[in-house]
Amino acid sequence: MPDWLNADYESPAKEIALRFGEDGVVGIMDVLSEKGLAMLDDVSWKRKYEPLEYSYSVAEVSGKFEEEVQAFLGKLLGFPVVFDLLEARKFEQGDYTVLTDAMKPAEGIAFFLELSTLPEEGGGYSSFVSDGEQFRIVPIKNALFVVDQAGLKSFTKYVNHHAPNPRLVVFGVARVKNVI
Amino acid sequence: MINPEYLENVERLNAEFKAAEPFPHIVMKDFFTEKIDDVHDAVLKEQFHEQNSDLFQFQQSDDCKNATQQAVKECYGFFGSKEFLDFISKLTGIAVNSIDMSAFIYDDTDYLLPHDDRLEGRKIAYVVNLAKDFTEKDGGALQLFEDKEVVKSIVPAFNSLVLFEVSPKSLHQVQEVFSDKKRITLAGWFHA
Repeated sequence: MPDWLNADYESPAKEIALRFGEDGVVGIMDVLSEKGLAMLDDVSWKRKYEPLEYSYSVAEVSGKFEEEVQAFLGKLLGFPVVFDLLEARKFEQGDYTVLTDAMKPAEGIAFFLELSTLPEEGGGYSSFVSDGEQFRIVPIKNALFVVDQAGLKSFTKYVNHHAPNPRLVVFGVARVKNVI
Repeated sequence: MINPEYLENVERLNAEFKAAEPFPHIVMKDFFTEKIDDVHDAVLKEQFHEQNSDLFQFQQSDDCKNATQQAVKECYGFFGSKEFLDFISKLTGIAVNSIDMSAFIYDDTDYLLPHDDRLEGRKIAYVVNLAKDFTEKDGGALQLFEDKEVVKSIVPAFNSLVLFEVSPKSLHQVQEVFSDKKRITLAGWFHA
């Protein structure tokens, strides 16, 4: 079992997969071990800034971590997945992402492993939209949110000056792995 | 109604507008000589609607052509008058023939992220600042970009009129408001 994972999730409850199947979104708490909670303490952040589209920082995750997350997510959802993207993101005061005209509705499964808590009024949450807002992912430290984002678009709400800390999240986009 | 200093120096203003960086714009302080306090008070009596999206967060009134308050109606009528449209056309060197106008209130944490305003017919964007006592630390500045960087911040000054040319270069934003002060404006576009 990976050392970043809470041992309680070595064999995740089947209800999690059922909930995801029914609702297309599921959140679970206390996902990380003490070591896992510190995983972004010493990473090297790189700024990503395109005024019309986004403002935030990213850090790479290791190939080993990606493989472990992939295996864990597959176990959690009850089917194998493969990540097209997995990276750490930091949204500080003034950061955001916006929907663009060129943006097409997303595909696949969005993965949010939250490393910090941010109150909704501080911004920084992920908003999923399709003909209006459908739901929000509000960051809670040590929670994992998994979203079937097919047909949805999403943005990260501007982080305002009342936000007490940055949003730290390991964000990924996965798809079902074809197994022949 | 307009400060004669501006009415009598349109050619100089035109040169200033065209030469401004990062794209043609001008800030005219103490723009109106009368009734601006009435407009301020009247705007606050209009009906506002919460606007909240990925790109912005503020309160906006209905189009001012449907204003309920007489002072706002008069302001809308004045901006759309031939006399004022001619003044703006001369000042900017761009012929304009109509306007739209809404009132906006930005409260603490409200903002408008970078965008260029481009939409068919929009030629000149304008902002009438009705906010009182704003300083740099209150935020709410109209910020102009060159490439990806803010190169000019215009702190809202009561009774100032800001104009800028709408073009692919006119990337701008309204900085987040950092205090309890209300950033009140009348804003819109001159069209052609």
